[in-house]
Amino acid sequence: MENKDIYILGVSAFYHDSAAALIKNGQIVSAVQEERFSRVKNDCSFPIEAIKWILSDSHLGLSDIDHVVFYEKPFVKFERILATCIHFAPRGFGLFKKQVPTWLKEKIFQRKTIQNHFQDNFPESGWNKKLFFSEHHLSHCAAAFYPSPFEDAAILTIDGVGERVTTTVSIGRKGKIVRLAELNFPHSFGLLYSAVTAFLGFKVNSGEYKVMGLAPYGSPIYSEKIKETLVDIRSDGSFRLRMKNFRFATEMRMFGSEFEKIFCISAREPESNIEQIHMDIAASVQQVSDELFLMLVSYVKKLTKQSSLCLGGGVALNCASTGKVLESKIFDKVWVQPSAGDAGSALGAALAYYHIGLGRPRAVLKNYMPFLGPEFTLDQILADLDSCKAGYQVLSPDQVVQRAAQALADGKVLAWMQGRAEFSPRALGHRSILADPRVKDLKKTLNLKIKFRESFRPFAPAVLEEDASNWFDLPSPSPLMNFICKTRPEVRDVVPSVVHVDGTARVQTVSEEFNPDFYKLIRKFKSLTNCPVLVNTSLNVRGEPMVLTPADAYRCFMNTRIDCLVIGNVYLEK
Amino acid sequence: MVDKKEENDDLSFLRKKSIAMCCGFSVLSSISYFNNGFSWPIFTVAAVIIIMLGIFYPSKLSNFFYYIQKLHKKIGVVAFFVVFVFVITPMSWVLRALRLDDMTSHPSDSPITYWETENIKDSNDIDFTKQF
Repeated sequence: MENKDIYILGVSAFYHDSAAALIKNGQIVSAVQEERFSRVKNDCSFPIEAIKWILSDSHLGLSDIDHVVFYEKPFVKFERILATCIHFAPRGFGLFKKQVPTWLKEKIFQRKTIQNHFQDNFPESGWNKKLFFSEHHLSHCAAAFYPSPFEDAAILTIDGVGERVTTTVSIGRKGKIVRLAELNFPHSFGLLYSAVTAFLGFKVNSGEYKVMGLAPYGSPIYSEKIKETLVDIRSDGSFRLRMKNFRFATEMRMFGSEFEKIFCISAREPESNIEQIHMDIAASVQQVSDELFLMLVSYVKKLTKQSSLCLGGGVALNCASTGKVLESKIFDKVWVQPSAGDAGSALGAALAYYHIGLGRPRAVLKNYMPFLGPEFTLDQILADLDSCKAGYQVLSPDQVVQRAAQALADGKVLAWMQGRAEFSPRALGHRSILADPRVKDLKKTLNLKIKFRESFRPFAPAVLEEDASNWFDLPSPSPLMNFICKTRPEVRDVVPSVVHVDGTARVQTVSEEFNPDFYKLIRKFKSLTNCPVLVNTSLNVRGEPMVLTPADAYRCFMNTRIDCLVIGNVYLEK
Repeated sequence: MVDKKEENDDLSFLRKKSIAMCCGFSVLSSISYFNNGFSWPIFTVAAVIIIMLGIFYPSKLSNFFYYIQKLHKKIGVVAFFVVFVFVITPMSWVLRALRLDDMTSHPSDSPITYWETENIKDSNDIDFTKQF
């Protein structure tokens, strides 16, 4: 009998960063976040456009999908909400009156809701209605371990909260994942970091990386105070939050008035001035995060005795802390899922079901490619640009690289869109804004006139892999931009735009194998300038998700002070 | 085209609501009648008016249902408050007294670790068919 291909569709939705992912016989085919289509940042709605694209990209109908897997178990999550209300009563009516009706009305019937979404959008599909439910942290573990290049590895996942678990330690061995230890709600480092994020006037679930970017401007003078008053950390990295200072378990807000007493300042209003004390608070929580990560990783090493570590969960996107983990050499090798948050759980859910639910063996991936989203043919690019009435030139691949590199060497800012979109919150050279890092005031120009965002936000360097060690203290290649490391002191003045105030940078190493077009561009830029580094930031403006289509890219190009736009072999200049 | 569809959906929603409310008034009317209440004709008239408006002029009911919905929300909050005070809070006290509440909200001096290593569900035994 002929072996039939097994298609599994993973879905994450209804909280934040909804996404869909497709695997075929355990091989990752495609994955994309709904926000790229809907243009709503961190969109939490059911990822119907993402699913439609995934199916059409693989020339499949819904009837070809053998299994649909949702990334968490809704009943367990609802049980945790009820248990929280019961535990904290008589406090917590605020949370109860808001959460319980919403759950009773909509969320508790998620099987039906998901089935209805499919039925409404694919009425004649003949779908087998096989809908499965993974566990939130199992999805994170699976997203972190299965695409990693390790046969066996320790797995550490940290996030806000899933169903009930907030932190897990597991071992991934062949196709199986065995959980060894866990910490449960309400004790969540992700929620502590989010509470400080909210206190500093940034948005929870999306502003955390701003706190990370703000931290190097401050001194960690409150870190001891945070450990005394907000979180009790044991030497093995386990911790408990001092819940009397938090409100996320009883109200629809993150922190209590106690935060103001602890930091001797009132909560910062969003968009108001950022003062030194805000930077100090950011630096303090970041230092606590770094220390906690190192303690956790030491414990994981002791418990698992593995030489490789996989990191997952939203907190693993804190590349300052993951950089410290890499630098510590507690583990020989560290791999972080680039889409470590809930979006990546769509992929994790599908992989978990394939290897654990169906018991299928795992083939180790040498190089996980996060370029899993849509790409556009020349005809589609031209059709999009024509509909925008854009003026453009179609060049040969070599000409495009030559023109783009020359523009960059001339100090111009270039939007670069090539191939499949990244399945990651970070631009890795497929939907990027690029610039010459040697230009001194570039950071200010890029932040204020192009990205329209806070002036303190740093920019990441993309460097040729073979040159990386001459410019950055990076122990191993970092093609997924997952780690922050020190810039070599002798080059800090050469590339000021990509060096943060503390001399660090979030480096992406670019190799020909991993990212050929981007590699050619940087190599050409190097031949013109003797500098193998480019500024690489996501192709979007503040408050918007990364661009997806040529039309999105053109709109972004026209509405900002970007000088040139390259989409495939098409070149546009203002 | 989309606007037209939305309008039709709204009208259909209002009609369904009017039928539901008509049924409600009819039930009230019957109860009142069997209890020898004198108010049953009022409920019957209200039921007839609502169903007639629902059938012929559903758009005229939109404001009425808007206020009913507001009232419904307020009643909902009161109902949830009652449940919270008389069910959830006593349950919380009982569970705490019997030490059955396994959620912790405070750091403790006694354990050297907060890791939970016992009774962890084996990931390989997870039932993917279940929502729990």
